[in-house]
This record gives sequence, structure tokens and C-alpha cells, in this order.
Amino acid sequence: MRNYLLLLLCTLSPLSQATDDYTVELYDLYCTACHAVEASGAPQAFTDEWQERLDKGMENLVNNAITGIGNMPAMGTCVECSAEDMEDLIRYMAEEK
Amino acid sequence: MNFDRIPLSRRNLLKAAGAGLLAGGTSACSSQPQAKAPIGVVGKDGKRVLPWSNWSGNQSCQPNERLVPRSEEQLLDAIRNASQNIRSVGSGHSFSGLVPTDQTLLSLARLRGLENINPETMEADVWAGTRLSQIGRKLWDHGMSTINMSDIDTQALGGALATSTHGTGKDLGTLSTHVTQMRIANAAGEIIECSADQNSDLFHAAGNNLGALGIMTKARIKTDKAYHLKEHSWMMSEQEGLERAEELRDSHRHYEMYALPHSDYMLGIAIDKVDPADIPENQAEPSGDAYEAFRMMSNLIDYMPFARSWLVNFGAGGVEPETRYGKSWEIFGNLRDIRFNEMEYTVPAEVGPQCLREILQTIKQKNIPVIFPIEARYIKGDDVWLSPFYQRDGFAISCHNFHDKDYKKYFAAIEPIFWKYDGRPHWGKIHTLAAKEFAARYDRFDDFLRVRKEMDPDGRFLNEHLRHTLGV
Repeated sequence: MRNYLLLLLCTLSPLSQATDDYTVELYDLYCTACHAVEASGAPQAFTDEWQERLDKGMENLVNNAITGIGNMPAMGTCVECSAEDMEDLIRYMAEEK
Repeated sequence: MNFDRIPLSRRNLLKAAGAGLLAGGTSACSSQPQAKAPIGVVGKDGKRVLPWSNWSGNQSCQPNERLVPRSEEQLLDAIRNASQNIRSVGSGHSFSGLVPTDQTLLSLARLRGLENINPETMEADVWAGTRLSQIGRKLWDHGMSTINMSDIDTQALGGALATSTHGTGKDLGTLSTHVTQMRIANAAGEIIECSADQNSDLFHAAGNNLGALGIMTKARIKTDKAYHLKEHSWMMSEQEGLERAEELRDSHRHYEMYALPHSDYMLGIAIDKVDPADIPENQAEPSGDAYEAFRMMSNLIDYMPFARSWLVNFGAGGVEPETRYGKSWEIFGNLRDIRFNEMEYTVPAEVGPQCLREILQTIKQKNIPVIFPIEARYIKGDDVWLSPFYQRDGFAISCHNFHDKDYKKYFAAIEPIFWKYDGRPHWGKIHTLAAKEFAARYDRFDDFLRVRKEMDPDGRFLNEHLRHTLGV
């Protein structure tokens, strides 16, 4: 039962996972040029601009990041990223600080 | 093309044309995203292989395998064990078809960072996957600066060196001319080291290697002692800009021009080293949001094409001179990565302004619907076999359009003008030339093909575009 509750907690709180160093490195390298510059028009990291987008589904967000959308180039130019990396980055940027 | 160098703002435009009108012309509506299935294909190992698209979106492919080696040894193993062709990709900033493949797409992004940073020899080793923007920052910690830098600095070093990426400066060559040694993996999975004294043919070919000679893993670069820069930009008439181009080139370390199609204006940008003691304590805040201003103008012109010249002239006429100071990498750097498509040709320096004048006149005469600034830069000649600056000082003219606007008609109208002035295209940007035309432009074209064959006898690093442009 305890394991079940832990699993449920993890499933229901996707934004509360710890962020690994590699995700932070990817964020610094590839995301800050737009997601940390308000003038870019991109949703800003660590703000509440993500929740509405997350509500429409993580798969949508990941797919948009892979193909590019608006002024965002495909994969945010992160050629090394996997779909899982993109998801980790979205979760990281969606953390409000 | 660095929009943040243009001190133009939407505020001034709104003042001019009436906020309601402009806001109406630029309002954006977005559609509700539809739920999508995961994209990509399933690879041989059962894992998802993502599609690839370049930065602007005009090139794309679906590889059946992606490799991201974490060490040089892993890379060599991958090459030795490969059963199909491999194309390497940097950060996807090329607009030409250098990258697309339906086979293996290889990224050196995990081979990044600087080593052996030596303030005595003023050299450093840089892994090919390192973003250009990271080099200057890291060198600064050791009292060093890059000698020059391109105005977009989000490319990977490997891709930049493969295509003669350059900044501007009469006495400054491309980034490849700052390299003293390279390590390149050939198709047999062996590392070949080269420099001006060792495997010199490979070295002279590799400064513009197109990823066709093998996989460049690391380069040793020359650097300068850490320095600060002063950047000054000002608007002048198109006539003055063209007439004073050589004088301004000769009086500044870096000088470039942004010509504004359909206007009577041109922006001059001069950058020089500055003593830190001469930097004012309180610097003015940058006044412009130029990209947004141009985007706004472009959208409005879609509705009111007859107002094009008036609007661009009004916007340009309100631009005030601006000066900013900073560490070398801060001034060279380009934080925002604005998407566009681009054609760039380099013509001999002495006919550069004349060629630019003809392009601007053609845009007006043919009423080509473009307002995106044309960037013009002087670059020193070099000895890299396929460099657009091979044995001649060059004047690089870069024509752009927004990534989501049609560029083909515009570039088709302009490209013959470049040919008339003996222009050589940037290998990573849009052009229509094939092997025959390249062979006529480069004395060492056949030598490049010879070295390519030595490094990769079976053509395992080629794709369709390279076979076409190299005639292999």
C-alpha cells in the first residue's frame, strides 16, 4: 500500500520531481536564449506561463518542441536531446520559483 | 544577422502610424493545439528516433538512427561499426542541405568544452560540439578572448568550421583562420591530426570541410588577450553608407552595414577595442526591440503594401545613434536566436558596395516584398581551399527573410546579381549552384575532392546534397 501511495504521489505531482544536473545543463545551453528573455515572446521559465499549456497535455508540448513552433526552432536546436530530455526540460521550466 | 544591434523600437512606429492601426495589423491568433501522437520512428534498438529539422525549418529529415557519442572513443567505435552512411550535425544553423539524411544522424553535442587553455601560448583546445557562445565566456576566466566572432554565436564549433563561419573586420579572417590544429576521424575510424605543418593538405581542406572529410572532433584555436569592446551604431542615408563603406571599414576593427530594403537608409555598426577605464559607469539601456518592430512592419505591409517605403523610411528615420560597451564576448554575442532564411554570397571586397547598390535597386525596381535588413560585412582573405574568401578579401552580402515568409522569389531575383560580381556562396546558406559552378570558382576544388576520397573512399559521410554540390 505504501508503494502504491508513493507511486500515486509521483504520478499526481509531476512538477515536484528533482531536476538532474544534465537537464539544468541543457536548459542553460539551449533554452535560456528565449525562455529567459521576455522580449522573445516565448513562455518564460519558472513562471506561471506553463500551467495552461501543461493542461493541454505534455505530449502536445513535447511534439511542439520537437517540430518547432512560432519562433522556436525544432528541438530548440538541441540535437542531442531525446523526447524524454524535452519532457524533463519542460517540467523544469514549469517549476515556479 | 543580429537584430539586437538595430536601435529601432515598436514604440516609435506606433507613435507614427497610430497604435490602433498597427495593433490591428499585427494581432495574432492561435489555434487550439490538437492532441498529437508521438512523432518519429522506431529505431533498430526499439527506441524512438526523432525527426530533425534545421533552425529555420527549411531543411528536415527522418533519420533511422541518431548517435550522440559521449567520447572520442565512442565516436570512433560508431564509425567502425556503422553499416550505413553518417551525417554529422552541429546546431542546425545551415540553410542548405548539408545535414539531411535518412540514415545515421550524428551529433557531437556531448563532446563539448575547452581544454588546455594556455594564457602563455594564447591557445586553447575546443571540442567540436562546443557552442560558440560558450568559448568567449570560458576564455575570459583565463584572461583571454576569441580573436573575432560571428554575430550569431549559437552554432557548434564543428559546424562553424565546416562552413567558414565569419564575423567582420578588414584584417580578420573567418573562424577557421584562427585554428592551428584539428583532429578529424576518417571513415576507417582513425583520428588524423592536421596543422599547417602536419597533413597540411587535409588542414587546408578542413577549414571549410562541409562534414565531407570525416568528423572533426577537436580544434586548437588562437586567441587574443582579454579585451573590451565599444559598439557604436548610427543611421545614415543609403548613399552615404555606400560611399563611405571603405573609409569606415579602414577606420574600425569591425565594421558592418545593415541596408534597409525599400528605404533611403542604412545602419552602420562600428566595433573597436576600448580601454576599460574609458567605459562609462552608467551605460544607456538598449532602446530597441528591432525584431518585433520589423515583424510588426512586415505584418502591416502585408495589408498595406503601398505604404512599404513610407513605413520603413519613417521607422529608420527615427533611429538614434547608440553606443554600448562590454567584454568582448558580451558585445559579439547574440542572445536571441531569431529565425529567418538566408542567402549569402561573398564578392571581391573592391566591388562590394557596387554589388550591394545593385541589389537594393533591384529590390525597389522589381517591387520585391521584403523589408528584412541586408547585412554586409568585410572579411579578410584566407588560404582555406573551399572558403568563399579563398585568396581574396571579401564583402559578404547576406539577404534574409522571416522564416515563415516566402524567400524563394526574392533569392531567385538576387542570385544572378551575385554571379555577375563573381560571387561565391556561403556553403551553409541557400544557393542553387552545383559542382560545375563550384569547380569554376575554386582553384583547389579538385584537390579538396582528392583529400575527401583519401579520408572517405566509399563516400560514407556524404548525403544527396553533397553529392550534388561536390559532383561525387
